[in-house]
Amino acid sequence: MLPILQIGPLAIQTPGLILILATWFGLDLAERHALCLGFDPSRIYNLAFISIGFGLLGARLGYALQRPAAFIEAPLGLLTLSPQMLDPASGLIAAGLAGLIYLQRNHQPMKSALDAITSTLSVLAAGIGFAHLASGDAFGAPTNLPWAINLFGELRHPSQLYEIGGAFLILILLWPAGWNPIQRFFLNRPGVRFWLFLGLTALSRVILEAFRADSVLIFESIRQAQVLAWFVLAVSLYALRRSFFSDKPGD
Amino acid sequence: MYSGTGSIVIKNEFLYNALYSRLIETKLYLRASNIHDQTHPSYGHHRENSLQVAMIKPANQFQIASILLLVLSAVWIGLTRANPQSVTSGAPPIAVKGLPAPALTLTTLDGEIFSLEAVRGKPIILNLWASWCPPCRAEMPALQRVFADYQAQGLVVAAVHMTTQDTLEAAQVFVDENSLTFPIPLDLEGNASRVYRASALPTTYFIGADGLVKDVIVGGPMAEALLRSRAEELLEEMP
Repeated sequence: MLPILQIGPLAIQTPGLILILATWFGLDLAERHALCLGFDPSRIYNLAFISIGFGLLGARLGYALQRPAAFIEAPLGLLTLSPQMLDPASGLIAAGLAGLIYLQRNHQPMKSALDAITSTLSVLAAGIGFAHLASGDAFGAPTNLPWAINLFGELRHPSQLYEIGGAFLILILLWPAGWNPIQRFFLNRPGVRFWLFLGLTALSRVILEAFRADSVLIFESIRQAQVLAWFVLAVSLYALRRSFFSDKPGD
Repeated sequence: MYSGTGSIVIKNEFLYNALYSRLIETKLYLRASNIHDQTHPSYGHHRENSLQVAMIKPANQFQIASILLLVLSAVWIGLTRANPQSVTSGAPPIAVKGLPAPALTLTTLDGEIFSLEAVRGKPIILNLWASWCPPCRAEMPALQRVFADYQAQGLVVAAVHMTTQDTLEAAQVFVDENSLTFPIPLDLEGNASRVYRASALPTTYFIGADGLVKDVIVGGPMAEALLRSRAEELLEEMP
């Protein structure tokens, strides 16, 4: 665990730094992969910056709208750089809408764009695992298995390492290259790469959440993240079925 | 792969189509012309009825596999249900978001005893600070205003002074200058610094009425809006 990187008087939050680096590497990778996925590489960064920019704006406005009293008392709080004052759901919706509008205005293929941006999402998923490792978040349940790690005074599942391993496995499985049999057999239909990423990520969450000790529970004992991931998996499988077996070429 | 009997053809149909990635095109082509598939010469040796059956099967196979996967996932979710006590049982040795806040009993600047156990059941903002730390000094007036506004609703604010890294005199001067009215517990032996991981100052813990650490903010100064919104969240969660 290394939550703070102290460089002289400067205290850098390591998880944030890791996420920034992961976004950067992910965008670079997406740019390299874009051409073979049928998307204009020069538009990757534009798409990313527009989505991220509007995503941040939406996340801050969403947060403020949920707590108007706090911002009426201190309106300048809207402009502060606190990452804690962001609502992820509002941010995702705003980022998605902004990206969609950008693609439509520039007459870019939606499915190819999703396939290309999957490279960024895959690297970001691994980055989130590393960020969890640095911050100590998403920690594992106590266990006596030989590969348990000592964390917070107890032997625990290295759940963050499971998360990183799963993310890298998905990244390799979906790597768009000639040597990858999955690419040759399954990924040459637009949209399939994205839905496979979503489905595999959801499946890994369903499996790996069981080894965590910080799960939010619903109905007293069911892990909320597993239920949400199960629904995402179902949607992904439905979308994959449509991608593989639809008679409509543009469907 | 495709040179076996009719039953093998059906089993391998999905892989065949994936391999050639032309399921629909092939299907339409075969249905329309009823001639050999030129992309795969061996395919044309099978009878027409085998082809018609095989064309329907892959989608069904995929559907069955999907349903099986969803059922297995649902079973796994059921099998790995968590015991509600497994996370919260026993206080952790150090403060971690999502886990119960470790016990803390310290003497305050006024000579009184401040104990987290004594204020359990109320939301707490626990700030770690030192007088030489500029962001700590900058955010303290906002902390005082938030305390003044929300104290009546049950919010507890305490600013633990890192006495092992500072002097008592400097702390007293700063408290007097800013007319701080919330408790200033003194970390005389460095226990609070160790247990609450004061690796950087200021560090602020937001502890819910249920005793769990809801959030940790390292660094500052925090925006007053952030403090207010966090205070409201903690108060909303109060039973």
